[in-house]
Amino acid sequence: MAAEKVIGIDLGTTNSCVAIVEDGTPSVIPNRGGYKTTPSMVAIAENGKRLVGHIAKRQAITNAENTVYAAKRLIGRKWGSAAVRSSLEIMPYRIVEGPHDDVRIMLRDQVFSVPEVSAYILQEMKLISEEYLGEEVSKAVVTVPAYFNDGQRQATKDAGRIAGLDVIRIINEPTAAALAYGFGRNIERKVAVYDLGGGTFDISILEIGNGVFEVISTAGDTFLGGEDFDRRIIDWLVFGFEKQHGIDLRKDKMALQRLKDVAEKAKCELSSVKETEINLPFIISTGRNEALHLQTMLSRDKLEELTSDLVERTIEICARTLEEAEIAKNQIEDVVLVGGMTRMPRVQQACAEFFGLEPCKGVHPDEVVALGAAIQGAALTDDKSDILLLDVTPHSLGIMIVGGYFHKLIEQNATVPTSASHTFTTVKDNQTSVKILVLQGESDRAEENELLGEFVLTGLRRAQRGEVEIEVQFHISADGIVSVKAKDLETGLEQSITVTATSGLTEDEIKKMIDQNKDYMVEVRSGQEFDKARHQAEKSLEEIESLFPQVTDIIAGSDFGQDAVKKARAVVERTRQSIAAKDLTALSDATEALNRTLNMFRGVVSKTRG
Amino acid sequence: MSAVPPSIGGLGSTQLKLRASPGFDPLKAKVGPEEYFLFSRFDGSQTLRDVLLESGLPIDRAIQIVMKLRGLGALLLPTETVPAAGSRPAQVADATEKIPKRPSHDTTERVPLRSAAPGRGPDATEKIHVRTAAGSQPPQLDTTLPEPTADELMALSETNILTDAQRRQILAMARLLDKRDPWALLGVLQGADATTLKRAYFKLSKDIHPDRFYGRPLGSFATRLTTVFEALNRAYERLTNPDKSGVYNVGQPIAETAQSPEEYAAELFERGCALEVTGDALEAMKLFSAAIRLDGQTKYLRRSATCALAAGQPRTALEHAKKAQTRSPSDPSLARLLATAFKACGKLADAEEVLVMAMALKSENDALGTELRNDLAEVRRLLNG
Repeated sequence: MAAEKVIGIDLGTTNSCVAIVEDGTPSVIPNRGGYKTTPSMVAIAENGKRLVGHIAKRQAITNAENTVYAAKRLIGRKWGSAAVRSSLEIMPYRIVEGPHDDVRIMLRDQVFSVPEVSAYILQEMKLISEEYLGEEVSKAVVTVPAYFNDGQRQATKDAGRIAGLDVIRIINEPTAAALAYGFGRNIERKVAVYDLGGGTFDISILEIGNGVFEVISTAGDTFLGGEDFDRRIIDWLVFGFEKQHGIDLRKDKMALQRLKDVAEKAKCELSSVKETEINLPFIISTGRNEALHLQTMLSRDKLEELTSDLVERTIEICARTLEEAEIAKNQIEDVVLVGGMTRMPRVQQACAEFFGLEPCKGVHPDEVVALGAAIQGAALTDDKSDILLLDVTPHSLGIMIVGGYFHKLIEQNATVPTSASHTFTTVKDNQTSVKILVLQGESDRAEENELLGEFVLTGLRRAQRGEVEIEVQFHISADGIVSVKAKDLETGLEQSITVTATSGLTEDEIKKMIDQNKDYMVEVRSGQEFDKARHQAEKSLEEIESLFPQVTDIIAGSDFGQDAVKKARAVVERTRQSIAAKDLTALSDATEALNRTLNMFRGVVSKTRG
Repeated sequence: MSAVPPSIGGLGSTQLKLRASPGFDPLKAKVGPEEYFLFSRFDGSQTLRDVLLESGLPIDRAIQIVMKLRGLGALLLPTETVPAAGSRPAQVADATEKIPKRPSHDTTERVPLRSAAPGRGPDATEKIHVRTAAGSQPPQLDTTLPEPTADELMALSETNILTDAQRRQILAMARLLDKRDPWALLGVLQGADATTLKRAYFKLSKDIHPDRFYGRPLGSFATRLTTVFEALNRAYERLTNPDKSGVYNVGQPIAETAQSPEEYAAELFERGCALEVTGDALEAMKLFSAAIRLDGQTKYLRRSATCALAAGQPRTALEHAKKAQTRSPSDPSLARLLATAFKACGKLADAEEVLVMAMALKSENDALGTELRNDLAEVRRLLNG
């Protein structure tokens, strides 16, 4: 079987990178300019031409309003979300509300969806690989931050589809990094991947051995990345300029773009030098035909001071993640640093201090993620690959139950594929339908989680509340596709959905929905437990009945024999009644007494025999 | 203090779960009452250590008897099977003749049974009862699929990209799912350490994770792989993440200590007894509870329940007395303890019931009988008053 080549794409916030495994060796594919990474930027030029990558970046200063960068921060987000709100303030391009509470971007009077913009970047990566390989490429593994929710992952897949790529798998960036780190090395150890990229911070713990990569735990912060470091520099520059000249540079979009560029450049330079000059001539005009310049020195110490809390926050997340995974720091045998920000000496130092070991230097922080994506692509399609990734689900999954609570069926960080089921009941008398709201998240309150989908199961028998039992089954496939099934245990009728699209609902809307559908909710009921208990009780009943004649024969003569038989009969009767009443608590009590009696019966019989 | 050694020469670890050989006839072998008694305790669900402890015999004597029974071929190690047994899954190489008929088209791919563990398979010519160190072998997957079901036969003959060996492995693992034995599913010895577990899990994952067959025609095995992998994953989870509130957190990680959970439980129990003697009943209770979580022995349960009653903790006393009584139902003294615990919890009706049953159980009229009678009178007085 001649397997079709699968490329691996690191679709980054600021830069993207593409790689492929050829003859068992993963390598990054350079773009036309010979660069291994391509800026994740898309612009529409004055003539209406679409520009992607380096060309888009080069003209960004003069065409800031029509140049999109950091689209990844917006992908799969709702209009009302905090990420979009904060982007509205800082992005020089126009962000508008879409028809489904989603986000759209306006470039030269043309409206683009965020997946469309991301698709242009993916298309560019596809082109780069096709030129390099000399053949058509249609399949890709794309990476996303570990903290991306289902909506964001789905939107990333959509972007692939628009770009003409079948995204056969979405994997987490730190996981990809670990694949690249462990590839071709015969190691057996626990590693931590510290990934501080342009827009997000992720920490993952993996166990590697025999070519198997098991994700143990993963966590992160979606609002913490290199751009936050840039913004600290910008703020510092703007503040200093305002103090000196009384002018707020942020009001001028072109000045802001120049500040952004210079801040990023200074930050990168300070990774290798102690001090750098920031020089922005003619940054703004005062209106009296007089131009002002911005010129200052920024030292590494100052940068570290400006950003110390950001670095600290990453370390706090590391500590929490280890704690939640119940892994001691000293069990981690290597730390892999990923993302451009990990070039910052202070970040490396903080990691070394926290983990008590020097971070691994063997991987290139900008390329490692794409390499890992390519390795996973080969693992899936190449017979010769000996790599297996045991990936996990990034968020807990469950359904909403009465009272607006979230009932988890599958826990966060569960290895996929996985399934779970639970029995629920109706909450109203004569309730003939239930609505299953499928949610994702960690909060106990339904509205604070993400709604993945909903469906209704109808045709339930009219009965008292709590009488009709509905079994809800969840399944997550190896490629992360969630399917949910609800089944009326009485009739066997069932309804199911495969979660594919994002719902685009805000918290308020989910809240409203909860109110409107109050009467169609389900309630947790340990129906399965009852069935189990009933089953056990029935088995015990059967055995005890069979022992009665023998036991009566043996003990009826003794002082208390008659009494004991009477007692035993009463226990049997009590058990039968609680089964009939479907009362789990009563049944548990009765079964306990029943088993006690049964045990003694057995004792009596065996004693006589022996 | 118990003196059960961690292993017995010529037999292996006392953590092994021996079972009675179905082919052994104790009448023909003319065993004595003690031997028969001990023989009857081996049901394959209790470790040798437990059986020895619960026999009530002096440990040395009990070990002697076990060795004698072993010499007679009465006891089987977990990895052994009886050569003559009809329907038991064959696990040793000399059972190859019993491989059922398979569909003829791809017999060439069948992996010989022996290759499952190269060089470690038991020698077929040796008789079972003279084999010695066999107890240290992990359980092997029986890929011969004795008495295949219609579904399994279909699965073996359908068209897909899997080899016969792969199909057999998956079907054989699927057979283990009903047993709910996580150790067996992972193919490791019970009590295997974390590293062994991880290696086994990784190895099997590589064999059966659906991603290893991504995008290829799998027929009915698409579902089978997922089901088996999910079960494997659950088994691994269960064995590597024991009850988070358990003692594993306080002590060392289980993988890094040479002590088995049972040994650790014994140590905790002894420390508890020492504390109880010095009067610190509450601290002693904590240690007893920890020991019981690791190893629910009757001895621990009885001591803990008695201690809890004295310390004024009737709920714990009741919980442990219940467990103890369940483990040894025909022990009237435990029934009395349970009744006392019920009484302490105010559950007089239950206390009465237990006492009545215990009275019925007791045939002799000794001191305990008198005590039971007195207790019952007291409970009845309280019930009526």
